[in-house]
Amino acid sequence: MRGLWLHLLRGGGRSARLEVGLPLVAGGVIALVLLLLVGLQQGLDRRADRTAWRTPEAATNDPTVIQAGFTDYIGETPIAVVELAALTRSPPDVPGMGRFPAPGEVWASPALAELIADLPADQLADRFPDSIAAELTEATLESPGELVAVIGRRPSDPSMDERPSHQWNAASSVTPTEIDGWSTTPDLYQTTYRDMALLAVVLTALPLVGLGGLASRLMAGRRQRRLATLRLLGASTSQVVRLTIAELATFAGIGAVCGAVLHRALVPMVSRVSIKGGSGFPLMSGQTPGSPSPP
Amino acid sequence: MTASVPAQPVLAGVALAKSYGRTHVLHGASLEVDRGESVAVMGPSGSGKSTLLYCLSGVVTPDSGGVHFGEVRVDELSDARRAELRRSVFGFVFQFPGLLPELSADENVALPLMLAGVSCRDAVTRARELFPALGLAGLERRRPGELSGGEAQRVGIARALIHEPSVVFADEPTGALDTETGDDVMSLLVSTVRDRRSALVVVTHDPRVAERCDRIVRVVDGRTSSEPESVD
Repeated sequence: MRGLWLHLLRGGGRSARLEVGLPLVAGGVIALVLLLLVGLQQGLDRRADRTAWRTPEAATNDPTVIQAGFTDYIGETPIAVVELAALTRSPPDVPGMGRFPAPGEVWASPALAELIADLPADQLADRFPDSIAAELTEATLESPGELVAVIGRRPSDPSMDERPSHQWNAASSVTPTEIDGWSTTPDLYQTTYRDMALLAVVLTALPLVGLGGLASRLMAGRRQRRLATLRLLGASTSQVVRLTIAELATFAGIGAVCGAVLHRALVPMVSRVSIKGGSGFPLMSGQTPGSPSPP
Repeated sequence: MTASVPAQPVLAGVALAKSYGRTHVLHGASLEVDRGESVAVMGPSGSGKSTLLYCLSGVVTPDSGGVHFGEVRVDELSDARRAELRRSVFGFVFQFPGLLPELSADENVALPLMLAGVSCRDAVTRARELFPALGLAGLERRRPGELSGGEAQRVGIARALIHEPSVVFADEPTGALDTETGDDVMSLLVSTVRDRRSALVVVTHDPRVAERCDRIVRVVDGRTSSEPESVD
C-alpha cells in the first residue's frame, strides 16, 4: 500500500479540491490566529519579566541598594525614572546595564537620549543631574520607544529619603525601598495585560476548535465514500486507519505550515500595534539582557 | 444459453438468515455457485437479494446459517480475515462503479493489488495489461470524471478482475447504464469471468442481464426458490 495514500491525497476534480481546500484554509487560519495570540501573550510575558526589576521588593536580608522611582512627563509622554543608591561597595549589577551606576551618573533609553539631544536643555536635560553616560539596551525596556532613565544616587541624597506626599503621586511613584536583590515579580499593570492576552487565547481557542471540526466534517463525506469503497475491496482496518491519519496529518500539517509562514510575514506589521503605550517591539522573539551601548 | 456446470461448488451459502433490528431480511436463503458458473439472483425490491450477496461475500455476517468457500467458513472468520478474502479471492462490481476520483483509471484498477501490498508501479503495470481486453485501451490516464458511464463500469470490472478472483460479485452492474451499454458491459463481464474460470454472482432486476447467466435464483421475502432454474 506504500504510496497509495499519496495518490489519494491528490485532488479529484473541482468538488474534491473544494473539500480539500477549505480544511487547508481552516488549518491555516487556526494556526495563524493561535500563533499570533500565543505570541502576543508570550511577548507580554517577556515584557513583564524584562521590567520586573523596576518594582522593588523590600529586603529580607541585609540591604545592598536603595531603589526609588517616579513617572515624569514630557508633554503627555511618560518617562520612567529609576533612582538607585548603593549601600555597599559592591552593589549588584543592574539588569541589562552590566554594572551599577555611579552617583550622579545617568543612563537613558535610546529614545530618551535622542529626545534629550533634540530638545533645548531647559525642557528636558536640566531634569537630570548629569549628561547621558550610556544608553540602556532594549533588553530592559517595554518597547524600543519607551522613555526610561536610570540615575545613580547617594543614599544621603534627598530623593532617596521619604518622598514628601505633596510632591509625588503615590500611584506613579515608588517610595524609596531598601532591597537586597532585583525583583523578579512583574508589576500589576504588566501582569494584567499578560493575563488578558492569555484569556484571549483561551476564549479564541474554543471557536477555533469549532472551525476545525467544521473543516473535518467537510472532508468527512469524501473520506467516508472512499473508505467504504476501500473496505469493500478488502482494505484492512489498520490500512483504513493509516490512510485516515495520513490524510488528516497531511492537511493539518500543510495548513499549519501555511499559517506559520503567514504569521512570520505578519509579525512586523502586528508588532506595530501599540500595547500599553508601546509598539514596535518584536513580540514574537525573545529578548535577552545585553550590555549598554555608548551614546 | 446453457453452460456446462462443473461438479465442485466454489461458494455455498446454506440456510442464511439476517435481520436488521426487527426487520427480517433473509429467512433461510441458500445459494451455490460453481467454478466457471454464472448465477443471476433476481427478485423484487426489498426481497433480500443484496443482503444475500453481501452475506456470501463476507461483507455482512449472517445471524445464522453458513457460508462455505471451499473448506473455509466465511461467516466464522474474523473481520481481518474476511477483508483478506475480499482483496485476494473475491471481486466486486457495483451499480455505480465506485471509482475513486483522486486516482486515474489505471490506478483505480490497480487498487486491489496495492491493498494487497504490491508496489504502486508494479500494480499499475499489471492493471494496464487488462485495458485492451476490456476495450479500454487509451483510457489508462483518464480520471473517472472523464469517462462515460460504460467506460467507468468497464474500469470497475477490470478492478474486480485484476487479482484474478475465484468469485466475482456484481450488484446491479448495469443498473446505471442505458440498454445498449448495459448489454455490452454484461457480455464483457460474463465472458471475461467465464474465460478466467471464475464464478459470478449477479444481483439484478433486469431479465436481459439474467438471461446471460447460466442459472437464475429467485429471492422472495428473504427465501430463495427451492428449484434453481436454468436459463435455456
